[in-house]
Amino acid sequence: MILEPMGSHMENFDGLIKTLEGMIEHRKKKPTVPSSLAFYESQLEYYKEIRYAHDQGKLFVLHSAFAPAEIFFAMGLVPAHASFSLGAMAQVLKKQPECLEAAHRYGLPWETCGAHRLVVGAALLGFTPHVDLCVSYHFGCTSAATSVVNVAKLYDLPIFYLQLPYGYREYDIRSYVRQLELLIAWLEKQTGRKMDWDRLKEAVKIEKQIYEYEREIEELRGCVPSPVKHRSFMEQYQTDMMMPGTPTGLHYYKTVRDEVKDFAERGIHPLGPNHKERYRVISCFMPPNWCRSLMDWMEEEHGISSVAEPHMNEWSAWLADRIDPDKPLESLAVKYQSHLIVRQLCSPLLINQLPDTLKHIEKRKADGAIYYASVTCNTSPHLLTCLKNALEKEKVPLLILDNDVLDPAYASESEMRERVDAFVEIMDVYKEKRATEKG
Amino acid sequence: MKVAGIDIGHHTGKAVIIEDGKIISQALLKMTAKSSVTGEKVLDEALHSTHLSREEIKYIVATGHGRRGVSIAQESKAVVSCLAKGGHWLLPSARTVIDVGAEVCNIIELNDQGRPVDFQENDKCAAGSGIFFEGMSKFLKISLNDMSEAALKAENPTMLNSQCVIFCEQELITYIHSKNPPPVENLIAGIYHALAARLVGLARRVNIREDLLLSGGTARYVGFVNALEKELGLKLNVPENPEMVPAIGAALFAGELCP
Amino acid sequence: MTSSKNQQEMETLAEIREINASFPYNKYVKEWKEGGKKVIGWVCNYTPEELIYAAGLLPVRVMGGFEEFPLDKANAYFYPTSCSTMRSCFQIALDHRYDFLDGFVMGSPCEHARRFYDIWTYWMKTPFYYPVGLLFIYGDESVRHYHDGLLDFKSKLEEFYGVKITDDALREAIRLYNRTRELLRELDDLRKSDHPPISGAEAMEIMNACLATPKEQFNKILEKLLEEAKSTRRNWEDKEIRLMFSGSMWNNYNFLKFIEDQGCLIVVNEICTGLRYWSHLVEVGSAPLEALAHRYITRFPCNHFYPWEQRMDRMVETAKAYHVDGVVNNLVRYCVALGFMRPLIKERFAKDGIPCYDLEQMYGARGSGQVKTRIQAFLEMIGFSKEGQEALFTQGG
Repeated sequence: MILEPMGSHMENFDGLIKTLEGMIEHRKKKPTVPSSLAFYESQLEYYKEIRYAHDQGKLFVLHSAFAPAEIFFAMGLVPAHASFSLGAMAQVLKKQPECLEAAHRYGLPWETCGAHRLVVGAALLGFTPHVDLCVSYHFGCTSAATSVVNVAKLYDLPIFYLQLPYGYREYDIRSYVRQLELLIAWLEKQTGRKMDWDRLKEAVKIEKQIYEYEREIEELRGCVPSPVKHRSFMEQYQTDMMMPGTPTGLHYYKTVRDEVKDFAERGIHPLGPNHKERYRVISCFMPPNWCRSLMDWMEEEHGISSVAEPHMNEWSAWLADRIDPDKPLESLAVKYQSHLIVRQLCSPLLINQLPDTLKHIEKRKADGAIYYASVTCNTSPHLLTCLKNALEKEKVPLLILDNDVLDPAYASESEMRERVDAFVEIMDVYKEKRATEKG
Repeated sequence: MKVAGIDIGHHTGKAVIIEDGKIISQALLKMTAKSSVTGEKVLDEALHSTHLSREEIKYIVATGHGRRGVSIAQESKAVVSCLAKGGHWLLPSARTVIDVGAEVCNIIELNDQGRPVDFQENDKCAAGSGIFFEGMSKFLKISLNDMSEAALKAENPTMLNSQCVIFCEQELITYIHSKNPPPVENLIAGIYHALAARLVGLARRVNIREDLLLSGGTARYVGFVNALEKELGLKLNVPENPEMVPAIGAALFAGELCP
Repeated sequence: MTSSKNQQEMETLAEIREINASFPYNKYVKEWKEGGKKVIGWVCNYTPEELIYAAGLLPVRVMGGFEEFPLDKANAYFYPTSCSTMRSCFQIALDHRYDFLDGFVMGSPCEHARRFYDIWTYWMKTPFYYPVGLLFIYGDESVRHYHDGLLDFKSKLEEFYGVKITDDALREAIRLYNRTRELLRELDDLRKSDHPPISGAEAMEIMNACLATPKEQFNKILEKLLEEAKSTRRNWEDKEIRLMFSGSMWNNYNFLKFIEDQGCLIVVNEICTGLRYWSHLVEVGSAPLEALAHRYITRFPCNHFYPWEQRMDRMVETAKAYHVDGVVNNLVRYCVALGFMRPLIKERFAKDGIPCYDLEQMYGARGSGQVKTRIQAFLEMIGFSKEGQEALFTQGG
């Protein structure tokens, strides 16, 4: 097995940065909503930090999704979200097949999550920057935790194992706090640096502010028409997952809040006053990153707005009150237990995922729900039938879009569009029935 | 008023011409490389027996996976909508339409007005049923019709447990090369049973209600229909030309949408 | 010493087979229920059986049966890439064969099992549910967290069933389960010899029955089995190659027999429903809940536990202790943890010169032509390697 040295293909990150710069220029020339530009700018900043980390004498940490990056930032480290950063690079430069092939040769079966197989494949090909430390984080997704372990073992790197216990109980939070203490002690030992507690408190303060912004946004999402662009939820969850507690992240969420408030006050959709919103859907789980254009098409072609994303973008409004910058570790523990996708992965269906989904039907006036069932995802699509059954009882139709997180050949965007076309008629039937029953 | 529906499937193109609510002609052709070409050819084929010209067709609706490429159509509709429309027209009591095509299967629940209220398309593991039958026909060197007849004689269908048609094929090969291979009718019945079971597993995600209508080319294989009925525990109604259901639905839409 | 041919069965196995034939509602479970007592089904070895037993309840492992069967009903409730083990378990539940359960407990680090728990709690009418909390990292924090979890689980059991779980009851339960572990260890230790008294397939039959039966009765069966095993010498003709069967949960003993029929003997079942079930006793003496926490976390780890070296080192130690010639590492579709781990497992075994062969099977699969070919090739390769080593030895000696 050939193992390319890490950092031997930094031209890939250069390519990613160049592409992002191009996208920003395009967005400036053809603006959509301000948050879209803010999103790409924040992404650019993130990847530039990764690219030039060593040039600036900083240490680089490769971590699983949802690892508490506030801690890494507070210690002056440069973190990289393994699957998103390597995934973005591979997607933009069309190197996904190469990475997956390398992972296959290494011995990973296709049934393991493609996004995380890609992490291992990219590492094998030397596409990652030189990694100093690894942090494996298990929050309910074995693939996310384990791909980083493979990288650490392949390159003999120091690794810390962090886990969010499953069960959603108070004693889990206490354990998580203790684990964070162990993580900090380990990082201090590995880096020779000390935790900057003021900086960490500042990060927690920023997170609290972000949650306050999200609390406002959540209130406004029930407006008709939706004041939020369909694809915005993907940008929102991605940003806090990658750069929590940072001024860049804060700026992005403030931008989202400002524009959502503006559209809501004016009573218009982000696509303009002439845009007709026809359908409001609850988006379940995660659309593949390679077809964000599907969200745009749904919005433009059929007037479909996504009004809630309970499995990916659930911002528990009450968290803002429980985040206390003076108790940073406890705050992070509470936040991460209820944060976005983690919330439904670390708890039983009947405790969070199901009530979170159903509560939005009335509040957000949903006409239907769409489930993005990723074929190699081992955490979520298993619950499709339960969700469908529960939604049926509430007289909400569910569309299932089977897809592969990385591979359009499994289900192309046009195949998914075909299913959406069929679903539109079904939503019409339900709407007509509701109107008849009311009248 | 004469209207037409064109269905561009994965392997065949179909056209139906309707006048005043009656089917006056229909045609089926193998796919060409381009949907637009297939669309035109199959419509011309349907027109041929009626001595009508294209200009006399007031409105055309296309459906199927290649519908957007049919340039002669004024509009296109999703195949699920057309299956519901066509199925309900053929059998007003139908509340479930099961379409088993060459590559794609759809199970559609209809309300009392024949409108779709839920549907389930196959996942990739159940994909390719029609093509799989063709492949097995070539492998066993038995025609599709003879396969169907043979399955009816099976006393003990061979249990094939694979989820996926590819693994199903491997299992079959193992049996054929074993020391005491089962009789070929048992193997064929096993194939039908395995795919029927797979479909029914999928179908259970939708509320299956009677009456049921089966459409798609595979509905012509009685052996398969029997296996599917057995799995479902319900009777299946098969129209005379089961491949034409989406095209019929598209033509009916053309009649409604024509300005 | 009674000598018997390798195809001749030990008499006590008949009793084991009787239990398995009426899986999962065997006569002992039936007797328990008819005595007015309750039964709790559990998935995953990290379920603290002793705690359940100390509450006066019978814990039985929820399993997917011992043969291959269609999963038509279960498939409708899961996704195509859902764990085939969990689907098989649910198929049995949908056939109403688990209707006798009064509770369902999940003690798992695996997301497939967690979602199975979700599916079960949504669709089935089992009155009591509980997900056991677990950190699967070797270390003190995991033990501490598990202990906190046991306190929580204990209070939920007490509240729901209106019982008080005393330390004495817990110690008694621990003694009982430790006895089972000791007996299973003793039986497995006999397989280290040149003439194991049982095959890998038979060992699996024994475990299947053990997991579904009250330990009080099963310990007696095990004692009888051991007596017979110690006084039996079986000649395993054409089965000179010794293998370790590793991987995920597995219960279809006919699959192991199929492998053994190719010319080998499986001398250790290093799986959740094998050696890993009984490994490590609970050290009674300290506070029982603490002792339980310590044992459950520090035992022979499953594929989920980090760091992987803990597991891999023990796998190699075990392979050496049982003098195996090779390892079959069976990934039950669609196991994620093993999927990512297995290239490293292979590498680890290679360092110690132990060949390791990867298989992927749907849970409960019977042997197929493909598996036969692959196993035969693996055994041939081992055979050549052994001959080469013997030749060297002969030449050197």
